[in-house]
Amino acid sequence: MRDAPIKERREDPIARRRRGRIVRSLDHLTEAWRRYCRNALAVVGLGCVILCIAMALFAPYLAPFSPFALGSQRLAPPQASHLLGTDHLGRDILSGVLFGARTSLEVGLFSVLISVVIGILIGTLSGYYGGWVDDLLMRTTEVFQVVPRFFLALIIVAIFGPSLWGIIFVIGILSWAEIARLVRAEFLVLKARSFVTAARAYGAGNAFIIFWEILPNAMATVVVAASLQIATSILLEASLSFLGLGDPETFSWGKMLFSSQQFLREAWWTATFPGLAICLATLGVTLIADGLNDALNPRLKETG
Amino acid sequence: MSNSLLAYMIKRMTQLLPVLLVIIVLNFVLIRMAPGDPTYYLIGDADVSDEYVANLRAQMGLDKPVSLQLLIYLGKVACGDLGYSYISRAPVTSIIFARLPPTLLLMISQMILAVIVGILLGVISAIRPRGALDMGVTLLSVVGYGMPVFWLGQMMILVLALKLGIFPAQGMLSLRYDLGPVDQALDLLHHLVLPAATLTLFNMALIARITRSSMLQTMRLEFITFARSKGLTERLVIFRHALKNAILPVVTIVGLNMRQLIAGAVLTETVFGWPGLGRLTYDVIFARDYPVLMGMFIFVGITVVMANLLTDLLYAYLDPRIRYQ
Repeated sequence: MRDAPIKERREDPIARRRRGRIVRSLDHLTEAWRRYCRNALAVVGLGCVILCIAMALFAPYLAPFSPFALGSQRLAPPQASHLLGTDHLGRDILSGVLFGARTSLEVGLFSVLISVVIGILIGTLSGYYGGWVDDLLMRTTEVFQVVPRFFLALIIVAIFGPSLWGIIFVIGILSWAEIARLVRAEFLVLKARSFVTAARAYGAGNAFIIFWEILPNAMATVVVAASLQIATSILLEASLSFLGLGDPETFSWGKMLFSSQQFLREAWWTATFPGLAICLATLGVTLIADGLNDALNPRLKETG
Repeated sequence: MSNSLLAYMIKRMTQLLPVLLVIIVLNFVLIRMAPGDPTYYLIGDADVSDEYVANLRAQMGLDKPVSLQLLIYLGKVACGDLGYSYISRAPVTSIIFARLPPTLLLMISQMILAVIVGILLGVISAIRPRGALDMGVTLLSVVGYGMPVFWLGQMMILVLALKLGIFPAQGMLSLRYDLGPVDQALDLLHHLVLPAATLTLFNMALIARITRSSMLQTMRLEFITFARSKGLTERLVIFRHALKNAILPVVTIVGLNMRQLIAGAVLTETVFGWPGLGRLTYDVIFARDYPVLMGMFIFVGITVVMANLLTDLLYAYLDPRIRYQ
């Protein structure tokens, strides 16, 4: 019976390391959050994004009209009944701006989700396994980095018809290259570190090393790049809509700018407010990305 | 040209040419995947006999096996034949080249402005980090990153063209024929200001930001301390020693961002009614003139790949260490 206590002490090293990782990464996160809050611009960015999210979530309650409802007052300037004025069909601009937040955030979030999944997968395989896998995947990545993304998205959406999910998918598929490169670079550095050798020494398999040892350490880079990419995706969707390739069934800021183009002379408000809304979203996301960069990689922070 | 540079050039070419091939094949696949038969765009809803359609298909090479079609397509593209417009029936290549000069004018002028002003701003803000100007440049670059270029253009039109009436809002030339050559050039310049300024503001921010961080890194290196200790003036240290080394990342950013620059130009041209490739893109999307759209994709693809190659070469020329990696 003397065996039992010894067996208890000899806990599975992999399980122990896994538990330790979770506890330590929680500590890291609270520490990073504290650093983030000390950065005034980053907090402003967070405020902008929270405002956008609130606009998107509560659009049906906040909007005075349906964004599609045609009114009798065409191109009416901002006034009590239409705080931001109306467009050429008499639609309320404020309602449009509120509902447009939904489209932009959906596009930003989901297209980046797609590109992050693809990017991590490709970057991991490439960086961890190296050799011909790396060669092949990096050549592919280079194609995606060089190919004129805007034109390709334009053609695909023009040919297959604009739908919101189609646009999200196209943007996601065309935007993973940068994340793949960053993840690969992290893997190349991290897989040579002693903690990976240690993990291998106590018998961890490839999957454990990839998901529990290396990837968590690479996530800071991914998070920063991904949040920057939300801004790029929102801009790309707005650009497509501005060229008349927005989903006809949804309301988006880019589309409002598209239809305002002809009425700039008569109605400055049709162009000004949707554009400000885009800036609010992208500026917020960019500031958050900057703040995250400083908070998650404190050693990289530029002096000066 | 040294041997190492030549070797590097060949290596990069073999890496980048497949990208071009992929772009062209992708184009071919997209044409085939497009809903509806290509003949539909020529015939439309007109009532024609099956024989006529079959003839047309044979004429367009659609009756051959797909692999053969691809080979024929590749051959055509290699000879500069990008097909014919559905609408005007003119060769796509000549349509593109006809619209090229205005775009080149716009892009080159904005590039020169953006590089000069951007580098200057970057250097100045790096000299006094955390100063008022530095804060301004940082803010400008953050705003420049997130602001849609077409909205910036619209706001420029609203304020400077419609409210203040300083610049024309649309087009490249006035519709007056009584102008002499000098007046015509001035007229063109007058129209160029707003679209060029829009694009410049946009790209300058990025260049200033890169220059700034690159300068800050360079200024900490030992050779700068050494140059200072030799008694060189600060201006000489900054422009002769530091900037020369700090400029490399700027070269990369300008060269490798060609695809963004072109996308920005397309959107800006649309806003200002500038009669170049961007305006063509806009018109073509509306007319559903796919051959022209796809021809432009190939054209832009070639441009971007060439820009990448040139950037790499310039980089390897400026920084010999690159060649041996």
